[in-house]
Amino acid sequence: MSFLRGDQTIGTHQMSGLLRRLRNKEEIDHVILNTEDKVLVLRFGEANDITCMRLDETLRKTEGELSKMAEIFVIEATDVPDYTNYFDITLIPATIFFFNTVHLKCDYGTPDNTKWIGAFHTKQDLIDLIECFYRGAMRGKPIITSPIIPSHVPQYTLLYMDI
Amino acid sequence: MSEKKQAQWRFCRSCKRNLEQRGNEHNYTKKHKDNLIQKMNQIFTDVKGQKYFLNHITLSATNGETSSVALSNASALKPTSEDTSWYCFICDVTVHNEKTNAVGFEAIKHLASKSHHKQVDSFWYEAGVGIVHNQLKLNKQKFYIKEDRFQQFIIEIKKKRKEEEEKKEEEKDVPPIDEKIIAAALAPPPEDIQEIQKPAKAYETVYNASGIAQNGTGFNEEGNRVWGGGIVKVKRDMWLSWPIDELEDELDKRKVELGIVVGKASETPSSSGFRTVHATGENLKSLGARVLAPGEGNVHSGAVPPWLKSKSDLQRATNSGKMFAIAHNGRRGRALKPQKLGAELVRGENGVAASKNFLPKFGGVWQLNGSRGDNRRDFLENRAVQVTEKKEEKEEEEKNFPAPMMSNVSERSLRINLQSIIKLSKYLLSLRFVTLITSMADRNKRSYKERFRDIVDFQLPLEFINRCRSIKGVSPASHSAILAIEQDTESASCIWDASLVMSSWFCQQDEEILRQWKNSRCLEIGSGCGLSGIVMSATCAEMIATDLGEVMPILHRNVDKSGSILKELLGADGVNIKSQELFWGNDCSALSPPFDIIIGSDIVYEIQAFDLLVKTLRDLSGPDTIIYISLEHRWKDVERFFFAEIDQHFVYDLTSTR
Repeated sequence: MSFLRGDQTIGTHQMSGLLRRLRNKEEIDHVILNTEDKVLVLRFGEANDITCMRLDETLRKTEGELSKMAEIFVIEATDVPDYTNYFDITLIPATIFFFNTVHLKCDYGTPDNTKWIGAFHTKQDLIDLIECFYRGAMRGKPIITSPIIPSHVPQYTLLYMDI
Repeated sequence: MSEKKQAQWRFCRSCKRNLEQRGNEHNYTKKHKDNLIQKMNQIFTDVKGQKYFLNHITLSATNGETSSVALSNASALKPTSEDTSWYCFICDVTVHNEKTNAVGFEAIKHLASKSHHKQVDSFWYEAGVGIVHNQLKLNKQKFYIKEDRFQQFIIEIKKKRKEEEEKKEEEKDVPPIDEKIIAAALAPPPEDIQEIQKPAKAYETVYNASGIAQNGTGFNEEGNRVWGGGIVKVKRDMWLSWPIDELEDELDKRKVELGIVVGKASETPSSSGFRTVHATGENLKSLGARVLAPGEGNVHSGAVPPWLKSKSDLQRATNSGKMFAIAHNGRRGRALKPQKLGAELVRGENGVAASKNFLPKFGGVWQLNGSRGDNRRDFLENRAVQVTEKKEEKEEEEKNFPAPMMSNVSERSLRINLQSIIKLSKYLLSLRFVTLITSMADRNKRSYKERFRDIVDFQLPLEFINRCRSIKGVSPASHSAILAIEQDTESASCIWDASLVMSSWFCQQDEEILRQWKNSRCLEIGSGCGLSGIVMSATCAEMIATDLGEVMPILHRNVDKSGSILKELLGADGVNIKSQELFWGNDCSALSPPFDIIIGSDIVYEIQAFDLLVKTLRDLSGPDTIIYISLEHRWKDVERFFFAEIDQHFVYDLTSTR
């Protein structure tokens, strides 16, 4: 690890066009525990996957507009088995939302309420969703209903088994 | 005259206008057309009624009784009595149906006659039926009967007559019925015999144009119950399944066996928890089912989330998280505000939750009950209480501070074992700087005074001693010694982590490198307690440890003590160590530069001192000098400035211990 790692500030020195990436469990822990009063968006996925790329594009474009309400990070799902196992992430890209260390859930109309799977149909969908999370969380609600219309929600099937 | 008069005043049948005046123009008027259509339809049904008897020949009885069937059929179309007369509208003629061979014979005869045919034609022309032909959809031929057909009709009648007569003759030949049979038929049936069930009325199943089957009785020909639209109710034995039905049945069975439930958000699976076994989606890549350890849970089972779990030893050893923390929070590690209206979060130290059952409080002010003023007061009171509680906790902690440790040294550097340094040294190239990474947070735990408590013991590793000995031509030793180094509270000189690491690093060096150092003159800048200089002196020919005048007493003492210990180990000639005073920036010719090696541990901490430091380094070094500096990552700015300065005068390489 080079000395200059300390110099590479995540916020300022990196090229402003890229999404910030978290590489291991500690970084994710730190970010979750220390993001204050903002919705934290963590995208679990692989950068080479095409749906992931679409999602990243949407996130990148809206990051500036949402900077006062949300912080967006990107994680390779294979890097952090702890988190992948805990959140039961089997389809990627999966996006998980937090607010002040609380994991936020939303009823999208899909089998899984704990995360958003797939890309967003439009930028406005993402903005609406984050705004709803923000409002709900500021009022103390960890679960909200989705503002995104069902035709814009990517559908999937899951088969469960009891632990 | 009357004929002429009649000829003069001819009126149209349908619209009742005077034809002479208008001619055929009136055929195109709306009134005429509508009336004509109506009339023609009526006439058609009329004629059709009579034509019925063409196809259905019913003979009138010789006795003058017409069969009831014929009458009933006829009455469906047009009610007639026995002596019926039929009025032909077109010819303006009434025809009397007398009791002739067949029913309706006279009418048919009239319809077949030529006069009627002619009348139909003239009527067609006069009334202009051709104009309305499309709306009528009727042919002229339907209004009369062709002659051929009529002849055929006559022949058929004759045939039927004959048949009837033959039948009657046959009947006469039949013998009378046996009396015994009659008696048996009249007698009541014996009790054994079951009644014969009459078969239900069997209507044909009718198929309409689109193929839908219907049956008036509600039952099939096969006896199955049928609904409209061809839906048939069938017994289970009779049901013929398709292969896909069998497949689905099997799949369902398997699912039940395995306990798999297809996921739906509305249905809540068992509260103990569940995991995904298989996932599919359009355009979505699947990672495969997650493998959980036997005791582990996940989000659905309500396990403790990973960011709230306490850190294990392994995790502490890695540094990236803390580096990241420093970088992410900014250069001075901004303190986070734990309490804030609107979204309160009770945080413990290091961002870890204060208690196990941790939940942040959302919107502490806006409660549902009570006025806003009350809620706010409550909130502020609670906050005050929490703050005092925290203070009490801190005091307790300080009292129960754990027993003697290396006080100023962070816990990590305790664990800097030599093995890890050996591994890392493989990555070091031509070395100039040794960097050390410690955390601000660990340091700040201990109070200032506690840092300067006891004498710090540094264990010289045996291998190192042996190496030094072998270089100096002395046989290897059996045991090593401990250097006891004092720290001083008054002059604020303590053993900083950097010097510990540096000395351990020295101890790790291979024999080759130690040989390089063997005949070198060495100088230490910013010695402090002198640990790193002392360790270095074991390897090099001559060592001078320098620092500010305030520190000199301590330095002298340490150097003397440790020097003597080292001399015991390595022989009196092998160790040559002195201590001297040096202000950075002053004239240092007294030390007789240039030196072969210059060491400094933790000398990069103050920006104002950089110029002086660099100047001193330049003064003391020649073109071949190697400088070793170990520094702690505290402030980013400081490091940046330092390296900017260094760049101008020196060539440097970087390495790190982590």
